[in-house]
Amino acid sequence: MSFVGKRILGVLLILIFGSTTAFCQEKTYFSDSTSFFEFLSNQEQVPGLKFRFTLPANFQLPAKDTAIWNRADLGMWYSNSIDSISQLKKFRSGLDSILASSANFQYLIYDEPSTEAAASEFVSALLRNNDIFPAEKKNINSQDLVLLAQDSPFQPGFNVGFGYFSDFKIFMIALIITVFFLIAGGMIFFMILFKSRRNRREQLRSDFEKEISSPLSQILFNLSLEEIKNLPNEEIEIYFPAHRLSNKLFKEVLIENIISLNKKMKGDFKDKLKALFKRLGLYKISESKVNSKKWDAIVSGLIQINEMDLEEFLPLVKKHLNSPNFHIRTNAAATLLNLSREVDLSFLKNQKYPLSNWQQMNYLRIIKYLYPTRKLLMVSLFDSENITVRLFGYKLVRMVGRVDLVEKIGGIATKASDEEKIEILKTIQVLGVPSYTTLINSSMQSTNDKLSRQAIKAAGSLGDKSSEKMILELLAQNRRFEIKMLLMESLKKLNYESFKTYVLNEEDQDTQAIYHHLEDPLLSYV
Amino acid sequence: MKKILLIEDDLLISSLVEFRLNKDGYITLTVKDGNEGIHAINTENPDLIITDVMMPFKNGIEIIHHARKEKPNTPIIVLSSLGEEESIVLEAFNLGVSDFISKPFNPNELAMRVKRILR
Repeated sequence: MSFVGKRILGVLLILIFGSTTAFCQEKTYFSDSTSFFEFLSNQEQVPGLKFRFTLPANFQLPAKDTAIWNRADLGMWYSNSIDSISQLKKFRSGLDSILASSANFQYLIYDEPSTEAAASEFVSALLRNNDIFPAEKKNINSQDLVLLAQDSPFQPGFNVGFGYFSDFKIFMIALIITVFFLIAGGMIFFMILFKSRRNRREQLRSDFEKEISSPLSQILFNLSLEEIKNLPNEEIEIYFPAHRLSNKLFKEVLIENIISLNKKMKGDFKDKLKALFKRLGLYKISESKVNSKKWDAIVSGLIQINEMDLEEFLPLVKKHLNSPNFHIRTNAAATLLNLSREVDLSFLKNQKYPLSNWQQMNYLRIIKYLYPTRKLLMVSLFDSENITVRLFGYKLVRMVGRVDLVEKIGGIATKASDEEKIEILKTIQVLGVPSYTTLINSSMQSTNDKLSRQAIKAAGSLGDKSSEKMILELLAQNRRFEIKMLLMESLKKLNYESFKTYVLNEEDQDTQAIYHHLEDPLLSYV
Repeated sequence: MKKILLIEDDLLISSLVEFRLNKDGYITLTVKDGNEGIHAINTENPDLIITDVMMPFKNGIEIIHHARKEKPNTPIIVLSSLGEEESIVLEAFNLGVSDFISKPFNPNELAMRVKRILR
C-alpha cells in the first residue's frame, strides 16, 4: 500500500475507533431511584428541577396547614415548590404523621409535573452535556472509597473498542461517507493529474511546432528533391537534433506537420515533403501504427501511408480491407485505391460489411480522380454477394460512363432485386443504351412504386411502341396524379401525336392540368 | 525595403511564406489573428497585406474592410482554402483585393504574385 493509502486508512480507523469513547459516555447515570435520590441529596440543587408534595382532593386538611398547601383546579392539594433537597427534607420532617403518610412526592421540571424517570433522564442529560457537574461527596474518608467506587456504574469492556462495528447502521453510514469522500478525493486527484499532464503535453507540442517550422522551411526552400533524398545524417542533425528525433512526441508532431503541409502545398513541395518523411525514417512509426491493436492508431497509420505514398506498405493495408471497424476499412480502401498502379476493385467483392452512402461517395471521388490515368477493374463488383457492393457497381458504371458494362448489368437485371433494378434502369437511362425495353416494360408494371416510377422515366427516353402501348394501358388504369404525370411526360417524349390524342380524348381535370403544365415552356421542367 | 504584413493563424504556413518572402528581400511582419492584424494595419503601415480568411476573433473579410477604410491604396492578397464559400471570395473581390490564392498553394507562386504587385 502506498504512503497516501496508509494515511487514509489511518484516518479511517481513527474515525471508527476513536469516536467510541463518546458512545460509552452516553450510558444512563442512575441505575435506580435510590442512586438518583442519593445523587440529588449530594447535589443539593439542580437547575430547572424542583419538588413538591401532593394530597388527594378529598383529604381533610387542618386549618393550620392551609398556608403551605394550595388547592389545584381539580381539587387536589399541593405544596409550594421546593428548590433543594435540604428544604425538601425539612418540609417533610415538618409534616405530621397523617399528612406524611398521605402526601405523594412529585418532581417538577421547569415547573411542569414529571415522573421520576423523566427527572432522572433530565438530570442525566444535564450531566452528559456538562451543564452541571457532580458535587463532591461530603463526609468521604479513605474508608469510604470502596463505597464511592460502587457509585460509578460498571462499563463493559467490549463496548469500548468496537462501538461502531456493533452498531451496524452507524458503521454503514460511516463507511459510505468515507468511501464517498475517498472516491471524490481520488477523482479530483486524478483529474488534476491528467489535466496537468495534458497541459504539459500541449505545451510541449506547441514548443515542438515552433521548433519544427523553421528547419522545415529551410529544407523545403534551400534543398532540392535529390538533396533531401540523400541528406547525410550529420546534416539532418543540424536541422533536427538527434535527441529530438529520439523523442516520440517530437516525431509525432513532425509527422503531423509534414502531413498538414502536404495537404496545403502544391508542386514540388509535396515531393520534397514525402522525401523528407522517408529520409527521417518516420515511416517506421506509420508501420507500427498500422500493426497496432488500437483502431485510432491504425487509422492514423493508414492516413500517413496514404498521404506519404508509402507503397511498400500496401500488403499491410490490405489486411485491414475487411476490418469490422468502419473507419479502418474505409481508410484502408481509400489508401489502396490511391496507391495501387491500377484501380482494381476486386477487394470489394468479398466485403462482408455493407457499403454506406458515405463510403460509396468517398470511393467514387477517388476513382473519378484516378480513372482517367489508371486502368479501372470493376467487373467483379457485380459478382459480389453483398448487395451494397453490387449497387455501388451499377452506380459506378453510370458515373464513369462505362457503356461496355451495360450488357453485363442488363443481363443481371432479370434476376436482380427491385432495388438493383432501379439502379440498373437509372444507369441504362443515363447512358442512353436502347434495347432494354423488356426490362423497362416489365418494371413499369411492378407493384414496387419506386421501381415503376424509374421504369416510366426510362421508358420516356428508351422505350419503343410496346412501351407506348403499356403507358396508355397504365394511364387508363391509373388515377394517381403523380404517376399520371410521369406517364404523360414519358408518352410525350415517346410519341407526341399519341400524347395529343390521349389528351383530346381525356377531359378530366387532372389530365388537362398536367397537359397545360407539360406544354408550358416555363413549367415543363419543374 | 518593402514591408509585408502576413495575417495567418497557421504557424507552419506563415513560417513558410515568411521564409520565402524574406528570401526575396522583403521585411515581413507576421500576426496570428484578426485583432493583431487590425492593430498591425494601423501601426505598421505595410506596403502589402496577405491575409487568410478564416481566423480567430476577426475574419479576413473584416480585415479587408478595415484595410480599405484605413489604407485604401495598400494592395491585399487573400490566401484561402478551396472549400470556403463562394460568397466570401466574391465579397473579397468586390472590396477590391488585388489577388486571391487558394490552398493548397505553391509558395513560389505566391512570391511571384507579390513581386508583380509590388513592382
